[in-house]
Amino acid sequence: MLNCEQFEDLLPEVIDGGAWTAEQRTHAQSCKNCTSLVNDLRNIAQESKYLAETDEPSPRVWQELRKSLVAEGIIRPQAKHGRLMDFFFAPRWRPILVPVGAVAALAIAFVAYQSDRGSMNGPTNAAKTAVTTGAQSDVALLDDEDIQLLNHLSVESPAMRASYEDSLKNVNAYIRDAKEVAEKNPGNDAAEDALMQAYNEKTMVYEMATNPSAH
Amino acid sequence: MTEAEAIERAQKGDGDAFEALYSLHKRRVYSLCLRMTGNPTDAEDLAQEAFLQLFRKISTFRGESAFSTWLHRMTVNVVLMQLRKKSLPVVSLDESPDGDEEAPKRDLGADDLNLSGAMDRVELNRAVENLPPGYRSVFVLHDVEGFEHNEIASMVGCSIGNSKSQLHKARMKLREVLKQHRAGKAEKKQA
Repeated sequence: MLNCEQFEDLLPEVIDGGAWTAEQRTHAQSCKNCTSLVNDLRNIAQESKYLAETDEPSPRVWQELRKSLVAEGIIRPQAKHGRLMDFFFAPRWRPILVPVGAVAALAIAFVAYQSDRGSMNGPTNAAKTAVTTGAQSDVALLDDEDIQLLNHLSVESPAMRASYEDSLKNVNAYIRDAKEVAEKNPGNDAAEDALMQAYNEKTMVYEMATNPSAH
Repeated sequence: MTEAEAIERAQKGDGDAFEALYSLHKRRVYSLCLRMTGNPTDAEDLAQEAFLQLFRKISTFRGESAFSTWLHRMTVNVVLMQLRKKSLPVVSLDESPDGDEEAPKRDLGADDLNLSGAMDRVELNRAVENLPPGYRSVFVLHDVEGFEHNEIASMVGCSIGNSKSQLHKARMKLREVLKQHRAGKAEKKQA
């Protein structure tokens, strides 16, 4: 008959579902401590499975990971607008897309018609205003902080200035669109997420511009 | 977004898809790194590195194996590589419990402090984190992550017998620690 030490030496196979030998069974039936040992080890093995997903990494991990993915070109910037487009083309909007599209087409046709009439009569104030507004809207895509940053880059890294100016204009346009959608749809999670994402995008452009060595 | 959709979109460079995949698997990957290293800062760095390596190769993923299996294998490799770099023992070289200071003591005649019933997972978690590194890797890979001994042997570079032996010693060590903890609690209650 097995003693306790011999019993323990044969335990690993049994704990993981192996078959008991007759000798082991006999020993376990007569020894309370060894029975308890088997139960404890099985319990530990069983409970340990629940440790697989117990811990949450800090948000820093995703932030750093995202920076690396952007820096390596694995995340492509243009793909970021996908969420906004998903929002616009979500199934819930489909029933109104056709009438809204039709109204938009009529409005464009009307504006084009008015513009043609205007050009036949020579440049009018309305046409002049439209040109001015277009130029202003391009400038308006940069705020004071952006201009400060670009001025700083003009000194520190002139070659990168144009590239960052484009990035800032794009991201500001993204923020503006996302803001409009969020304002029109208060409480809509997708719209709020898109806006948050847009702001994050801008933060990243700033981080890359001010600390290029980290990327 | 389902995992399959996220993978397809991530392969096209969609940032949201990467974030979705990260969110789906971050707890599992980070927990694995934390159990293996016992250090939250190292675990975060390793989790980040594992995801980065995976996302770099995501365009080559064809779905022959489960995405999670691919990710977890990559995570294990990243962690093991790090442990080797730091010269930490991935498995203990000692296969005999005798003469090993870290080996659990035989306590076959000890009072029965049955651990069955509601086991405190916080307590278990702490005990696992405090296991000697040589035992911890095999224990985490087998009992927590569900790898088989032959897989562990090839990943960590030891024999199947060594893997089994390390696992048993790790479980015995955990039992010892948990029993001591429980005995301490019982003493406090009596006092």
